[in-house]
Amino acid sequence: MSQGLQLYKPFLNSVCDTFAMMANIKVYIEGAFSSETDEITSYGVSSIINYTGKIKGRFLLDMQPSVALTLAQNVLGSYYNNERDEMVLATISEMNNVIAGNAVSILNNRYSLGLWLSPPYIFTGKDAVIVLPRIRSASVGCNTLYGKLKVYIAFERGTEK
Amino acid sequence: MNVKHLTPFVDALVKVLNDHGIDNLKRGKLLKKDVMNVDLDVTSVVGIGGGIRGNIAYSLSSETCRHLFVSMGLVNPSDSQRSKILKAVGVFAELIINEAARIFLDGGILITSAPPTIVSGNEMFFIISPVQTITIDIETPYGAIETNIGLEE
Amino acid sequence: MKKTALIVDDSPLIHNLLRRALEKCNYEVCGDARNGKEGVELFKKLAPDVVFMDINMPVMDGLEAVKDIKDFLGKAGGGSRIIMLSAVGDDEIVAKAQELGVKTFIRKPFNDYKIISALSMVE
Repeated sequence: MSQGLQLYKPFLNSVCDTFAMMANIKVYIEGAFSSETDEITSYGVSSIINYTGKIKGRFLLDMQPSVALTLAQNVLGSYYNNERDEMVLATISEMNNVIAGNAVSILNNRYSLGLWLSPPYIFTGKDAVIVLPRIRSASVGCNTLYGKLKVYIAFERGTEK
Repeated sequence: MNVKHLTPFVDALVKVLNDHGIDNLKRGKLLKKDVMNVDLDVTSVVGIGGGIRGNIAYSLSSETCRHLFVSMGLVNPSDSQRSKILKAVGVFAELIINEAARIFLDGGILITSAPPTIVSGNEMFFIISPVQTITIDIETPYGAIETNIGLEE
Repeated sequence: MKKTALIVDDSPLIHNLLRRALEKCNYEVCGDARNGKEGVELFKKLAPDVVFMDINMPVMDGLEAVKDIKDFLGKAGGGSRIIMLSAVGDDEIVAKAQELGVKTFIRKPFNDYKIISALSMVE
């Protein structure tokens, strides 16, 4: 397995596990990781979390509003019809924290990277375009019964000794 | 949220603008924001770690970006490509955060930062902190810059 | 009589998920704390049968809170009533929690089965 893939895999596995365990949503991975441009058109709801340590980087979870609504509904047990609802966004943001936290702890245990997470942030809006300068991301598309999502992972060498 | 930890992010913005020849700035009041709806169409978010953890977001309109960055020398007047303007927003945010880091270090706090993420869109709604978001507007001759600060403390 | 549980986590989502799982296990959630400091205060006041404790929280983290609870209970210990629950399951942090007497850990993500299994270990 390439070094990049060794770092990406725990994130993708964590997405599948977290969606299945906490929201009862099966995630189907479509194809392999590919290199991304630094400008991304959002599916609608995007959550980002940064990590720093011996290396640093960024994890972006981007999903269609239909996925976000189903996810919040399954996790919280209440019906939501607007992805701008604070509870919906807070749920996705916390799910991202769980996904990244789990992946980062696997990487720390495996490679002693000493990674720490920044708090996640999330946004939604019309025609959102995301620019991710400096660190090039690898992405993989995923599908669920409720719509599409895409996972973007980026790493660069960190500054900690 | 400790006010002492908020002002460096605003002071840094003012210093960066002043250093690039942008004067006549009007500083608004610190306000608590329950919901972070942003009317301005360009936002740069930077994750902060180290002695203070959280996210800082600077929002401005595309028009403000264009005029401000030409005036600051971050883009050429002939650069009308949106992607160049958006990348300049990232550079602008890094300048501010580096300056904020210097101010914090003078006060004995070491902060680290992640590369900025720039988001462009309409009717944007953000959550940058699960706890509380504090906002402050800085009025420049080219339009407002809204600073949103969400620290985990 | 229902057993009681205290939840200490900065995420409302986790409170919600745990509450639902605990109710299925015939537990009553007697307290919700958003950080370790609040958690210690509620522990002293409510004396719950079991505590679900996150690790990374603002104000006071979970390890520090466990230490305070242990100090409060004195010789009686207290770690055995605590279930550490965190996204950060680094070996080093787990070892520190074990030193404080915590025997049961749940790594997020979790489902109801993980909660039931953890409860059976502290009962």
